[in-house]
Amino acid sequence: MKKPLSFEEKYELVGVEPGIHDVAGFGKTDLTNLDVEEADHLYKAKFPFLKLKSKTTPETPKA
Amino acid sequence: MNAKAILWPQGRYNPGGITQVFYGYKEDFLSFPVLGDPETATMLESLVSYATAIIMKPTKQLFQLYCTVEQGEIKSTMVGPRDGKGYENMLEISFPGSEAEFLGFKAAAANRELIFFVKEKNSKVRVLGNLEDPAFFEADDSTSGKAIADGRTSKLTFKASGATPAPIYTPALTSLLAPAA
Repeated sequence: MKKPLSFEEKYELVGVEPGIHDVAGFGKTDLTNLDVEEADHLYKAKFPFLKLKSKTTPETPKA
Repeated sequence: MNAKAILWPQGRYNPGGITQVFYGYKEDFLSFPVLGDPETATMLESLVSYATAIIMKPTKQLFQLYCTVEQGEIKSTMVGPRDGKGYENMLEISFPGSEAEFLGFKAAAANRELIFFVKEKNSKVRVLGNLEDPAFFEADDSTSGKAIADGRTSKLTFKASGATPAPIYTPALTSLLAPAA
């Protein structure tokens, strides 16, 4: 069974520093220790500072 | 929070007055850092200092509101009963003319939620209002004057209430003076 991604593996904060912020439309939100489930909800609600990390596939060495 | 000495270094410059005023509509702001809470914060400064950036919505920015030199001020008044004290923070500016643009600003701002950034002459930037407790137009005392010696002025007062004196904004203000990306 595939292990669920952690917040750090799935998301990055963009344009804001960690800490507690009052975000228009979202209220006071602690961005210091977001867990992935909370981040999923925020991302679906179009939270402005969350970005999905692009999936990086390890390069396969050429033979 | 531990108590600490509150000192003043001899010789420090401390000129009174404000130098510039900037304003924005509350709906143009995207986020505010939340100030520290006296029950949990460890530094006195964190109760009244925005140490990380306030962010505006894309394409939005602050704009200057002219104020005649030495005719503007930011004031804090403690109000409320014991165990329920808070602050009324006021900004007063004086504008010299009766230009249509300025009268239009007054009409547009009269019933609008506002946020002000005020540069003090001691280089501190004070913030009047936030997303939770914005500033409001409190009073406008305008006159054409009767004689040339009287002058033509509008004295505008804006007020924001909160738990603290108007907080200090420590990041550079420049990022708010151009349209946000």
